[in-house]
Amino acid sequence: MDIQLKRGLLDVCVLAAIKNEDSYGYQIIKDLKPYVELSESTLYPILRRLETAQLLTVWSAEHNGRLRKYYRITPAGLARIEEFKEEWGEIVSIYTFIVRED
Amino acid sequence: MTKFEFLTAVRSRLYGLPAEDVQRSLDYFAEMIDDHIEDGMSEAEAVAAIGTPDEAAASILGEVPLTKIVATKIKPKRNLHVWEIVLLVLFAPALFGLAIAAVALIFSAYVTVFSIAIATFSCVLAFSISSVACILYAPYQIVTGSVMQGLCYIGFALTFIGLAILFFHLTMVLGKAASIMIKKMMTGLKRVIVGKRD
Repeated sequence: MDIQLKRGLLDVCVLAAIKNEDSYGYQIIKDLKPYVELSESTLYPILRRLETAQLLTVWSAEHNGRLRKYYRITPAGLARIEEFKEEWGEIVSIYTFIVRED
Repeated sequence: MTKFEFLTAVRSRLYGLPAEDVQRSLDYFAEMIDDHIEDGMSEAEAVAAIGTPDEAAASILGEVPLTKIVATKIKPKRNLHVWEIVLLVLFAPALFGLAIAAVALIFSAYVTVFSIAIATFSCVLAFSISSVACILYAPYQIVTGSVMQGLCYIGFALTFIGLAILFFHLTMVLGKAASIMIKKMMTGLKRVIVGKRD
């Protein structure tokens, strides 16, 4: 798959994984597993990128005597998902054109 | 490999990176390993599941901007002595020149990589214009009586169209290769600056 396309897709996937409730790294990878195989090394830069773009915020909580980082989606992050839905409509219409029967 | 060994290996590959970025990424990987263990893996299995220290270091390096790496690298670790400041001021013109040279070097690398793609794209343009010219000229030749020459020009036009399409594909392939190469070069450059210390 085209690198840029995949990169954008993964960003939205991670946002979707924290859309309904805050989540942490390991949980995000587990939640996405049935759909996308995401490695720990791949997830790290995505989370950093989304944080820099202020699409999510990070907070820490204690868990079993250690700190765990939780990721929370921002309004801008939710807006990004909505934007993706609109873009997807365009992609689907292009796809239907490409695969149409003569 | 134990968790400690893994994190030490990653840290050694990030020597020279801003301390805050290093700590943040090590915290992330430590948390990942702990979560794997909590989920029932042994420490060695958990570390293996995370991948190699090289992969981890590369993913961290990719996200830190080059300017930040350079800024950390040139920031002195202690306060400067007076004579050091005097020397720095005296040699400022030379240092400034070196900095410009470094920037120019990076810029020229960009230009070199992309110039091939630009060259093939120029060919696409040239062939397209030539084919249009031939198509326009052919009817004139036929009407004025030189039918054979007119047909020749139609042939030329078709050849040019074919070449334009061929070179267009070449441009696309080269452009893509160039952007991948630039990305690899930047990671390589960052790696040279950050260096490795065991």
